[in-house]
Amino acid sequence: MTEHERRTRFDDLYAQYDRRVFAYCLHVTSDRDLANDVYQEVFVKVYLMMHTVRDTEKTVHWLFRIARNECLNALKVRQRNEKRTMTLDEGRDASYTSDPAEQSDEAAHVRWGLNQLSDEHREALLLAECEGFTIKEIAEITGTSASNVKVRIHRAKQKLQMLLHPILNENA
Amino acid sequence: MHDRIQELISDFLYHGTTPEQETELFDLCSKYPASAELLRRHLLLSLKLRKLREGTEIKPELRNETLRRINLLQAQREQSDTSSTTIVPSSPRRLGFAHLFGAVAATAVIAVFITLAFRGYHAPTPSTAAVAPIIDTFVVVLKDTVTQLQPVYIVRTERTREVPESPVSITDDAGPEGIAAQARSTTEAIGQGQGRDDEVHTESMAIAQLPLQERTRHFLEQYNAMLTSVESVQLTSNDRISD
Repeated sequence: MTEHERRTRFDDLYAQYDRRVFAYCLHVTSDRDLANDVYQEVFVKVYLMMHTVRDTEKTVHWLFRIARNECLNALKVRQRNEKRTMTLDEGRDASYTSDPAEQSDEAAHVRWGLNQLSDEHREALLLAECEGFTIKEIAEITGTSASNVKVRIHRAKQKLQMLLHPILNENA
Repeated sequence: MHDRIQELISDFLYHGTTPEQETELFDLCSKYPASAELLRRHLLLSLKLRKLREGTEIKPELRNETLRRINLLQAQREQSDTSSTTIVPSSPRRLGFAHLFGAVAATAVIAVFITLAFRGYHAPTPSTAAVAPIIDTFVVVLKDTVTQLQPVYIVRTERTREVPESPVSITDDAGPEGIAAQARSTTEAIGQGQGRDDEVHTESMAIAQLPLQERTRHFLEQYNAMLTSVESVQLTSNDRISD
């Protein structure tokens, strides 16, 4: 693959998915600064590894798999740093961490609820709901079985429904 | 029943239902209000989660910075591609053989070095062998918490080289008085050694009869232990080792 071909394929992918990748990074990390860094790293890695993609139909899964791994790595590093410095929540969006009672915005309330889920459950739910992937596709991205993905989504929704009980009832 | 509804809703939301399953789901919802309520709550939650996408605009600066990094990478790669084609014209096959020969040569050089190092360590050179002193006995010396074993050399008629580690070192300009004084100190040292615990002495003698490598390792262990033990001790000028 020549550099020109590599760049052309990268530009197509970037134009199509940059916003979705950023949204995913933001939801998974719950931290805008961290999401900015991860987003850049994802696309740099995608550019460098463009030649490894053989099945063009699965390029999107591959892209999100890279995004997922980068997010998980960034979260691990952040957790390590937080343990060292004990400055929790400093860089995070307030809407992800602060008390829901203080939040007037409904979206902020949902983000808070998402942040209460485990990483695995949140990830599966976001890929399904926000990114619109099917169960099979999520299984491919996360490297797990389809039935496992179903269970994760189901549990995530159960917990989220409990947490967002007030706003879900308001709309009744 | 509840499980079936859950399964149908899950499949319906994530594009996994067949038309028959969709009909089944809607039939159940029309028959049972609880099922309809469950579906409504799931749909509402999905709607709220999908709305989250709205607040995720990328700042133009972030996009520019990412593309700037990609441009830089592209330029670097193009440059390295050009330079590599001019500098390395060899085929992969030839490069593979070169690597193989390189590895063999490197292994041979390392083997020669190891052999030389071992021979040099074990076998004394002719000049040192000629002047090497003969150890007559050992003295057990207790320093701090460490038991040290020191060799004692007894003066013989032949000329011997000075051994700095020895507690009794004979020099040419020592004179008869110096030799007498050193002999006295040797006797005292031997006396001290004999006064020690017999067990320690026996153990030390056993160590003395070990091969050179084992003995060296033992001394090193003791030395390391001593280093640890003297960490908290304030050394004075009395501790200085002098001739």
